[in-house]
Amino acid sequence: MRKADIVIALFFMVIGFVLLFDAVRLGFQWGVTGPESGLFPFYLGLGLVVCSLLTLRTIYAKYKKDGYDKLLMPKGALKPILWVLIPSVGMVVITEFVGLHIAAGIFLGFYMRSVGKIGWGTTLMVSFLVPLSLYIAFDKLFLVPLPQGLWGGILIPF
Amino acid sequence: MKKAFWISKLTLIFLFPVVLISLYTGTANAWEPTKPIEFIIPAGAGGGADVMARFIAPIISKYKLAPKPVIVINKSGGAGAEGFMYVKGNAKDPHVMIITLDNLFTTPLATGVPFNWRDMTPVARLALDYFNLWVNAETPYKTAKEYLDDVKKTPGKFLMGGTGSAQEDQIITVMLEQAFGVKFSYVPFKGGGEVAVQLVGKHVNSTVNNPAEAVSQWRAGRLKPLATIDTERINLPLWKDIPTMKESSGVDMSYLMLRGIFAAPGITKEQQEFYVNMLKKVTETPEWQKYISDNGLKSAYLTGPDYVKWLEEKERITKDLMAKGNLLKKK
Amino acid sequence: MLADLNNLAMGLGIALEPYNLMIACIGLILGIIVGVLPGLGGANGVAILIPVVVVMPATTGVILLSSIYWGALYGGSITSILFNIPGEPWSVATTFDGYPMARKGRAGFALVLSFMSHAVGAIVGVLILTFLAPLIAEIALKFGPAEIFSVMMLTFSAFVGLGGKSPVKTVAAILFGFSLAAVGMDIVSGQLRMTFGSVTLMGGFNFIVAVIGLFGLGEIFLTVEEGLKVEGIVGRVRMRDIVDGFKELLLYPKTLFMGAIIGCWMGVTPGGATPASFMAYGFAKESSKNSKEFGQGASAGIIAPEAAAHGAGTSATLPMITLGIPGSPTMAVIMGGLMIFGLTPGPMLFKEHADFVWGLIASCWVGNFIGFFMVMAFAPLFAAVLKVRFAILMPAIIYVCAIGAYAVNNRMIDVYYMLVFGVLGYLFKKLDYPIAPMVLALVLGNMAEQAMRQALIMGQGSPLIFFQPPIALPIMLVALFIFFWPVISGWKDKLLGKKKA
Repeated sequence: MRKADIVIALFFMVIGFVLLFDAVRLGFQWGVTGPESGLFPFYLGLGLVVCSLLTLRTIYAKYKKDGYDKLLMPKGALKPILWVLIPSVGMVVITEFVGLHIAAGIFLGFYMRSVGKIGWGTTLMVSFLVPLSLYIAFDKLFLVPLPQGLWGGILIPF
Repeated sequence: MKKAFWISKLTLIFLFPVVLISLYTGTANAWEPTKPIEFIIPAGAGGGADVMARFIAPIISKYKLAPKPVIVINKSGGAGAEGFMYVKGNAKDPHVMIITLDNLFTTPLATGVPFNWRDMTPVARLALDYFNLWVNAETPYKTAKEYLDDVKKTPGKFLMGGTGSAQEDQIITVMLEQAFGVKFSYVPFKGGGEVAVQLVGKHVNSTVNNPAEAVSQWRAGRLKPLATIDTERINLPLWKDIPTMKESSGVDMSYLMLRGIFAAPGITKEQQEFYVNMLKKVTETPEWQKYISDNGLKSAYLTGPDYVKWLEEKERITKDLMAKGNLLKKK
Repeated sequence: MLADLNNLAMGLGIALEPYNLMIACIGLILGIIVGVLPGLGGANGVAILIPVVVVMPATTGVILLSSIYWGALYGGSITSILFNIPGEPWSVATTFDGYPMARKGRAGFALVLSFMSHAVGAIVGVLILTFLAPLIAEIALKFGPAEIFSVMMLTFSAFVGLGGKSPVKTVAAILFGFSLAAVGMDIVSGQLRMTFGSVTLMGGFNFIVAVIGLFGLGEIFLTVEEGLKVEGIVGRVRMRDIVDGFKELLLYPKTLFMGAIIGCWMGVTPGGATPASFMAYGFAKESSKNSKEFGQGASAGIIAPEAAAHGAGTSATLPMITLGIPGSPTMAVIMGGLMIFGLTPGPMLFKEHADFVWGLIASCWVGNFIGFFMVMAFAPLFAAVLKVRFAILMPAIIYVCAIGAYAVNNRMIDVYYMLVFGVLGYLFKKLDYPIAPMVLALVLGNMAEQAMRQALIMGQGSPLIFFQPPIALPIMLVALFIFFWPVISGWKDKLLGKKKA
C-alpha cells in the first residue's frame, strides 16, 4: 500500500513539474487581456507538486506512527488481476499486427480455453462469431474502420 | 519458306488479340481505388469543413463516382494538425484524401507543427468562402466606415468575435486594424455559429462571419452585414445587395477562404487524375450547385499547376498578414 | 399557445405517417445500439447516417437523425448500470449509484428507474421545446462567456461534496483532471500546450477514453481481486421491478424535477447533457437528507442525473432550431445534416420551414415515447447479458472497450491510454483518490478555462465581469455560497453552539 501510494504521489509530482516546465515556456503572467495560456497549467503544476509533497508527508507520518502497512490488494489478488491485464495488453499489442478483430478473436479464444475451460466447439464458435459480427457492424455497416494493423487488410479478404 | 510464312502468320493471329488486349487495357489503365477511400476532416464534427465533406461523400456514392465507398473520418486535434500529419504520414497511399480550409496555412504557421501544404498532393480547389463584416441590427451603423470610425475613437474597447485564434477571422481583424488604423479586442470562440449568436446577444460588437454562419440571424433581422470583404459583390440573389468593402468604407480589401482537397504525398499521376476527375464531376452535380448558393460560397473549381500557383500566392499573403499581426509561432 | 397546439397537431400528422414512424423506429434501434456501445455516441451514429439521409425528404431525414439521438440518450445508461462502463458521456454520473445498485442484485430495478427518469426528463424537455421555445431562446442569448463561466462554477461547487476521505488527495485528483484537459490546442491563444512537439499529444486526452479506462477496466480489476469470476448480479428484469421502479420514482418528485429542470436549462445554455448530469447528481446529493447513501446505490443518485441527461438532450434541440447553435455535439452533427438539406438552422427556420420544425418537434414527442417502450422491452435482453459466463463476458467487454476507445478519434494510441487509465483507476480507488471529481475536471476543464479567458478579454482583464448583473452575478454568488457551505455551516454551528453555552 505504502509503496503504491508513494509511486502515485511521485507520478503526480512528475506531471506537476512537466506542467510547470511548459507553463514557463508559454508564459504564465496575467497579460493585458487576462491570463496567458500558461497561467492555468502553472498553478495546476504547482498545486500538483504541493499536493504530492503533502501526501508524501502524510504517508511518512503514518508509517512512523503505525509502523506496519496495510496491503494494497488482498492476498492472492495480484494473480487474477494480472490474468486480466496481461492478456488485455497482449490483445492491444497483437492488434498492431493483425488488426483489432482478429486480435480480439485470439484473446477471446485464449481466455475461454485457459480460464473458462470451455469446450473447443463453443470456444471456436464464440471467438469467431463475436469478432465477425462486430466487424460487420462497425467496419461494414457503420463505416467506422477499426484498426487493421500491419496485415489485417490482407487477412480479412472482404 | 512456306512453312516459315505460315508460322509467322500464325504468330500474328495469336499475337493480335494479345496486342488488342494490351491496347485496350492500356487505354483503360486509368487508376481506380481498390479499397474504401478515407476522407479526412481536419476539424471537429459540425463545422464548415465537416458539413462539406459529409455532403460530398454521399454525392460520390449517389452518382457512383468511385467504385469503393468513401469513409469520412474526423481528425481535429491541434486545429487540424492531427489530420494533416496523418495524410503526410501516409505517403503513397492513394486511398486518402483530406478537405481543408485556410487552417492548411494558419495551423502550421501559428503552432510550428512540422507541416506544409507541399507535404501533400494538391488535388483541387472546390470553392472559396466569403467573409462579411457583421454588426448587431440594433446598432445605428449603416456603412463600414461609420462603424470603423467609432472603433477608432476608443482603441481596444470594441470587441471582435471570431472563430479560433490565429486563424482567418483574426487575420481579417488584423487586416481591418491595419487598413483603418483601429484597434479591436479579439475574442476567440469555438465555432462560427457560436460567434454569430454572441453578436446577436450583444456580447461582442462585430464579427467577420462567413455568409452561411450568419445568414439566418440576418434574415431574422437580428444582424446586419455592413460589407463583403472582397473586391466584388457576392453574385447570388440574396447577397448581391451587400456593398463591397470599397463601396462601404472607401478602402479596398479582400480575403477569401480556401475550400480545397488534397491527397497523400507521392501518389502517381494517374491516381491524382482519378481524384481530379471525381471532384470535377462532384462540382457539376445539381446538388453541389444548390449547396454553393445556399451557403453563399464562390464557385471556383481550380486544379493542376494553376491551383499550385494559387496556393503559393495564398500562402505568401497569409504569412505576410500573420507576421504583421504578430500571429506567427514565436521562436 | 393555441397556435402552438395546432402546429403540433400538424407536426404529429407528419411524424405519425407510417413511413416516418417506421423510420423513427429504425433510428431508435440504431440509437440504442450506438448508445450501448461505449465510444460510439449519438454524434457518430448521426454522422454515419447522414449520407443515407440525403436521399430522403428533409423531414423524414431529420426524424431519422434525431431518433438516433433519442435512442442513444436512452441507451447510454445501460452499460453504466450493468458494467460500470458509461456508454455515453452523460451517463458517467449514473455509474456512481447505478452500478452499486446492480451489484446489490437490483440491476433490473436500476434499469427501470433509469429509463423512467429519462422519460420524465424527455417530457419536461419536450414541453419546453413545444411551448416556450422562442422565449427560452431569448434567455439563452443573454449567455455570454462570463455567464457560461458562472454556470461552470456552479457545476463545480455542486461537486464539492463528492470528494474522498483525504482532502489533499481530492484536490490532487481534481488538478490531475484539469491537467489532462489542458493538453493540446488552447483555442484562446492558438498555442499548443504540453505537447512537446508530439502530434499524438496534440489530440489531447479524450474524456471518453479516460472514462472507459478509469471506470470500465478499473472496475474489472477490482472485481477480479476475489478471483476470476463475477458474482452477485442478478440479470433479470421482472414485472415487479417495473412496478417498484414506478413507485420509487414517485417517492422522489423533487429530485426528479430538479434533475429535469437543470437538464433543460443546461441543454439550452451551451452546457450540454454531460455537465447537466453531473450538476444534477451533485445537487441531489447535497440536498438529500441521507447523502451518505449516495455512491452505495441510492435511487436518487440514478434519478437525478438520468432525468437531467435526457432533459438536456431534448432541450438541446431548442438552441439549434431557434438560434442556429447546437446545444450538444450530436446536435452539431444533426445541424450539419440540416445544412445539407439546404435548411439553415436559426431563427428563420420557424418562419420559413414551419412544417419541418414542427415535424421535428413532433418527432421529439413520438421518438421519446416509442423509445421508452423500446428500451423497456429490451431491458431484460440487456440484463440477460450478465448471465454470460465470466470467461466469455470479460474478454468481450474489454474488446468492446477497445473498440470504443479507438472509435472516439480513430487513434490506436487511445487504446493504450485506456489500458493505462484502467490501471490508474484501480490504484486511485485503492488509494482513496476520488475519480468522480477528476472526471468532472477533465470534462469541464477546457470549457471553463475558455469561458473565463474569453470573458476576461471582454472585460479588458478585469475579473469584475464575472459579477455582472443580471445573470452572472446571482449564479456566481450561489456557486460561491455552495462552495463555501461546509465552512459557512461550520461557523453557523460554532456561533449557535456558543450562544447555547
